[in-house]
Amino acid sequence: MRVMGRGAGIGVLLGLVAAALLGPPVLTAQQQPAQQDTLQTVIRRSELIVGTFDFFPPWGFRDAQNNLVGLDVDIANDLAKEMKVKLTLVPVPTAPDRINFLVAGKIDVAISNFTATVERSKTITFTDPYVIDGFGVIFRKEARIKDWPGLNGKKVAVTTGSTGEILVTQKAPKAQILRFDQASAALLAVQQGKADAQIEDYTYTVYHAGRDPKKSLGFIEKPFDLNPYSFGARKNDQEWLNFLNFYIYKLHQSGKMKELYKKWFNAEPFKVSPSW
Amino acid sequence: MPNFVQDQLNLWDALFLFQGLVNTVRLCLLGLGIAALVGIVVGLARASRSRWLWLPAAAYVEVIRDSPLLMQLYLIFFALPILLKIEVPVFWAGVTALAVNGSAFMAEIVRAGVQAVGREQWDAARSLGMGYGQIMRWIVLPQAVRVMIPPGVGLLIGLIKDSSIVSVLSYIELTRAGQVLMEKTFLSFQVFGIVAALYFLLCYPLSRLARRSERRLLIEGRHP
Amino acid sequence: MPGYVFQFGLVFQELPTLLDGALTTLHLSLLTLLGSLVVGTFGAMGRLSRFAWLRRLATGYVEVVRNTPLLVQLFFIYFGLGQLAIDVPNYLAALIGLVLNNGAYLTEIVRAGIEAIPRAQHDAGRSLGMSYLQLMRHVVFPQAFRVIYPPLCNQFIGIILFSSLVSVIAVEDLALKGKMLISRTFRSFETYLVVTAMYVVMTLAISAALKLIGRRVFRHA
Repeated sequence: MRVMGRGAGIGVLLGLVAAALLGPPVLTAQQQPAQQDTLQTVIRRSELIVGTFDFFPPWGFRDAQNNLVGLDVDIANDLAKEMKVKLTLVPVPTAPDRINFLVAGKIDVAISNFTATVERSKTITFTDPYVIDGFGVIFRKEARIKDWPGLNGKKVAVTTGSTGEILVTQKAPKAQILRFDQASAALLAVQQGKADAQIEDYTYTVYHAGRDPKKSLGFIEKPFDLNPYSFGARKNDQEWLNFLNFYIYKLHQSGKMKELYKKWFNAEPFKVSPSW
Repeated sequence: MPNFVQDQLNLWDALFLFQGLVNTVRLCLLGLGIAALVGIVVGLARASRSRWLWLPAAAYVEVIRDSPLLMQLYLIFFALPILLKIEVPVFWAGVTALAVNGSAFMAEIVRAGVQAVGREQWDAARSLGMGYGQIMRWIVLPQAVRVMIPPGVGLLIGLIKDSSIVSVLSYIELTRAGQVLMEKTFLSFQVFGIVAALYFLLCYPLSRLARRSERRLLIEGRHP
Repeated sequence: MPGYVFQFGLVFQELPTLLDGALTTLHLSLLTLLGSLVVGTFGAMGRLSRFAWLRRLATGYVEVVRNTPLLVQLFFIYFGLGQLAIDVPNYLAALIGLVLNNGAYLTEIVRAGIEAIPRAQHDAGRSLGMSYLQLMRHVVFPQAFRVIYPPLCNQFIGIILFSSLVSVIAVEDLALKGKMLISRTFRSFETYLVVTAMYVVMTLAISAALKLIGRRVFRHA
């Protein structure tokens, strides 16, 4: 009898797996997603939970005392102050996890150098841009990379699920891609010669080429394809989205955004609304 | 531009690692406690003669032992809030994953312990008019517990090592603390040397204990 | 989270990608098993050696590996050695990490297998004029293998499951393919469920096959 046990157990288990795979979509496919009101939730619990990176200097990273700091962290602090609520920062492990954390309700808003894209907008929603950034390449000087096509045939480190990962397959289809969970692990791979270059947001490449102690890293000194950084929020949460947009308007209008950008980059930000 | 080049580990980093170590211990002790409770129930069900008890118990143990902890952790963290509409913070997702994973191994330990007690003792107790609960309480469990302690300690060692996986959710336990320091200072060799040494200091005394208090059963064998 | 709409279709469309990852998981696991069997055999001979320094070396190796997490070992081999300008490519680093890790467990398994062979057979072999290696090759190992086969199978399942950790050093195994899929489809829950199911099916099928082989070859019950 017990010899049969394992076989029977396996049968039950496969049944469960099949039920799990086939059951839920039938049950919920017709349901309308319910409206949410994160704004009220935040005010009621008087706590704002912000998802941010802890590995992406200077947007969100850990300082010498291992506190979470960075431009995005400053903005999160300011937002909580504006709302008169307590701020809780949740470090988001990877790029796609920003969306996973939002969808699973782990965070109220993602402020994590989050590039708004059409693809991502199918799953979550984005606010108006608070910053504009492009793509950049940071590389080992000995790899002699001058432009994007120069990445062909090279080992290129990317962050899994980042916008840069998609871009490199388009701009340099013959590049050999190494995928890491965190931008910092990808950068470490470049520093140690495991990869020739890394694709990341332009400001990231500028920052890290500048701080490299061995001066062995260079970057392509022109951003490619300027894109908006936005806050990420859940779908069907219109009041919250309105409020966040209103906050971002004030962030620009009060000059606070320029001031923060200057603090972290010592430069003028790219224009968010060009005067065309 | 403020420069954050930090090419040495400082006192704050030592504290940070220590905090990670404490969190690892908290994860594992809570995980072990819950795993023991669940494992005893499942293990007794698995050792039972009733098909309705051992079949679900066997299925539970099989599914858990045949899927990676990494995936179990992701499912608990991301799927539970969606399915059961309960919020699971990172720490508790880690504890739950370790407890669920550990309970399957604990169930096997309990089953082996209970089955190590000979059938004739059951018959003897029955003939004295004792019920199932009484036999378990007074005859089987006291003997089984002795057999269960060494593999139980082995399980704890396994959990300590497995808890490193919770780092993928950015919870600051020992491994994630090490990663943070590596990402900050790029001193990967030193940082992971220290992290490995700390794990060793945590696990090695337990290994000695397990070996001294008798042979480790093969149940521990699946924990790299 | 209220109002989550399940969409398994997107995940199933990408099944070939996931199967590709599963293949990587399989050959990595198989190479790991073979490699760690070699390491384990030498480790066990070291553990049982007449020479104290060899015994101590083998014991030290087993203890260090068994008392530290695989994830930390992988980071150490890939990034830690990288800092010393020893560049190990990612697949190789994953393989070395897994082999060294499982080699320690196999050392103990093989040792138990060798110890299960009665002392009298050693003496008999010696009295026939066999050397140590001949004795091992013709008398001890063939019998020990029968003893270690079940725990070896168990360990192989463990290797498959724990190989999911190599995704942190950019090896595109089933786990990383799953993560890549999530980054394209954003269906984390569905993907993780399908990937977990794939691991379960893979390990169940393999352990059933191994059990069958064991029954045929060794007449294990």
